[in-house]
Amino acid sequence: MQAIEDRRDLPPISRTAFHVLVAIGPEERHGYAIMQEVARITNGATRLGPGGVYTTIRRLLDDGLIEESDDRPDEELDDQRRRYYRLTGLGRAVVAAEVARLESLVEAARPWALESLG
Amino acid sequence: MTLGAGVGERVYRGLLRLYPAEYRDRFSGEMVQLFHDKLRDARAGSVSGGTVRAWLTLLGDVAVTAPSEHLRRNRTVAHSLSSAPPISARALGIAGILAGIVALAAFVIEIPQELFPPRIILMNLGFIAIVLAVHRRQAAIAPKLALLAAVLAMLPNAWVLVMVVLPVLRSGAIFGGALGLVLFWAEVALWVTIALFGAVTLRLGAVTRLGAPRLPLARC
Repeated sequence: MQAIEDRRDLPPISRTAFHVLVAIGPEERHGYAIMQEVARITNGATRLGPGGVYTTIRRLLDDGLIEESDDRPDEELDDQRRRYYRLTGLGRAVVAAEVARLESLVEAARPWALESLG
Repeated sequence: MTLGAGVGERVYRGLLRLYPAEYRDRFSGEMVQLFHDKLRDARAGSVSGGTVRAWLTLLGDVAVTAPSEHLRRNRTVAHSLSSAPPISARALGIAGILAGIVALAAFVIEIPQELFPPRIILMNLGFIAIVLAVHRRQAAIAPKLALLAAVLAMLPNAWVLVMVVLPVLRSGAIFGGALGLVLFWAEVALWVTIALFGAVTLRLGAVTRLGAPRLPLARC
């Protein structure tokens, strides 16, 4: 896992992919939950439709950043047709690298960017 | 728009046919489930017109993501993971798009005579940009054939460019008479070699490989 140890090896990801990865977070989520969570964490600024969610999920699956969970929720609690997704180790590393990158940007901007807001 | 649940689902399933078959096989069940969730929440919400708004969102979602999925079906998130393209690649891409627009415009709208030279110049520069951009990929697959196709495509482009730019700079008009005939044959050569370049591109499969840069992540 060399690339995970050296986060600089991990290139930036698209904003939508990052939103979906963060929305899944440490849990397992299905498509609709991901859609709702993306809207919540972006304060409604990003609202994905089914196509937006699943085109992103497909690419994240194909690149091994997320995986489908084998576990199914209790039949009485949820629809058995739903598939649940969770981050892989690589997915977590990519999120961590992106967070570090954004933190660096925020640190650079903080001294002056908030002055204009008073 | 108050379609019944059954009719609505049939409509949405019909819309899902716009996605590539492989994608549909994999995700249509989940997308229909999500469709129901979204409409259920819209109906339950207190906002008036929530269902109509949900349908508009769904239609917009399909309109945007179905074509992109067709374009991306051979691509992975590598595109979002890969580093931003260099300025040279962006410039070549913009020039190519501009050339495409100019070429299409020539068939769609009647262009005034005085705009012919800039149109031809833009098309030539665009062709050159496309050749340079695609040649990079071709060269990685078959360097000699790629070089031959690129040189053949570039020469008539340069030839036409010189023949259009020089007289415009001198007198503001394109060559006429005997030189006009030379320009005509230069343009014939240009289209033939561009077609040849296209054939080489298809033969090498360079276009489908445009979207397959391997991730540094693959080392994990």
